[in-house]
Amino acid sequence: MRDPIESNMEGKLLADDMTIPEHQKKIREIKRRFEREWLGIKGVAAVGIGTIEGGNIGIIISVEGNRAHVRSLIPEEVEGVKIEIKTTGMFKAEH
Amino acid sequence: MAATVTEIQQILPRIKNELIFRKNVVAVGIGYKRTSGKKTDELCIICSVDKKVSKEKLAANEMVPQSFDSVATDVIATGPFYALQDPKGKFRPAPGGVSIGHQLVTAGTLGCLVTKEDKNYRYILSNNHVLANSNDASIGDPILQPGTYDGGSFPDDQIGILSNFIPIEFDQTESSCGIANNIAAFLNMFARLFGSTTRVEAVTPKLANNLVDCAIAEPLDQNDVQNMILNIGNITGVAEAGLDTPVKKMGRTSGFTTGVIEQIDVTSRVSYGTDKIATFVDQIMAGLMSQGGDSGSAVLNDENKLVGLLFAGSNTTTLINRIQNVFNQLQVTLP
Repeated sequence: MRDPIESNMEGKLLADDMTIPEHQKKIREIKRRFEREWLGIKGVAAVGIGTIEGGNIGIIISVEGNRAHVRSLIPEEVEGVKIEIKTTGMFKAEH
Repeated sequence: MAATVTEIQQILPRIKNELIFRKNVVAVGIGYKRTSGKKTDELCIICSVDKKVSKEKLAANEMVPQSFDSVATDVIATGPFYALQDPKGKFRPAPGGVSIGHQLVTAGTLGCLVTKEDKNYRYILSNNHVLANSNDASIGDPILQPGTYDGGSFPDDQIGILSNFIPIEFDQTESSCGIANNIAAFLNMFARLFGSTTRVEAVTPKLANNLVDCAIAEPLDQNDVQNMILNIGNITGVAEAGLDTPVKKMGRTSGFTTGVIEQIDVTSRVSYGTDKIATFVDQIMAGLMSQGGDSGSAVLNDENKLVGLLFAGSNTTTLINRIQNVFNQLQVTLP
């Protein structure tokens, strides 16, 4: 069953369906449960789903500056879902 | 006796098709022959090639003959040709990929054309922060191509008017809510007085749930816009981008660039200048493929299908609205 947000194109196989099969729904669930909390941490710029070290899919937290502070507040994994932290810098509207 | 331009022009239509398909040939024209690097006064047919290859490595039918009907040929190495149009210039008709903006915005990028019910009537798609000055514009405001930063001015460079935008909801943070904090403190005082255990909290940042940063402009004249993207070509449809999907865009600042989708389902905080932060959900993230001014660029996959609308970036990454969200919110489709 698709989320309404993912099934808004008629007759299209959607990226989320292709890239996040059933056994990875857990990743999404963990992400949705904790992302607001993580985004509240100073220096956290984004939370997304992507390929992490080792080639598996996990949660990636983008931080503006030093990773150490954020790492100390966010566990390496939650319920078996790995959480990677990457420095990206701040996101700015590009005008 | 050397041939004249007119004589060569008479035989060129007949032989150019034969020459242009030879190995490495990228252009055929008329010019002065060069001998040992020096220009002579003999007119000839010049074949421009990707790279020069020694005769031994070419089959007879791959080589450019020394002459045609007594008109000499010359082969020069030019490298491949690219359309090198500066996206910061003025374009009429204007394709996607060029400079555009609201009068009070420096400059962003014209994404592509979209339509509503009337398929013959096309609108310009870009970001809210490009066409609608981050919610501060009014419907009907002039839109300039190129944008003001690229010399665009009203009324000479007006291409259209702001037609619609999806408002960006900015986060309420502690710093932006001094008044709210005071109000909360005031209300809580009453709450305590009346014995309520519920307290109003203004200090908890309220994050927004933006899906898109998008707007459309209505061209003053439908003939002033062009349904293609500069240096890319025609959009062939819409598609979803998943992890590892290769993507490309043409933008006002960094031009044609490519990237790969590195993250999906991204929730991100995006800065819109001093003290203005907006949280976006359901975004896609590519590696670095944009700079300031590229906002509003249409993002396409390898098959030239539209997958997103570029709107933000950091030093290492680019953030993109999913095109499905853009189309749903604005109630538009491809022409």
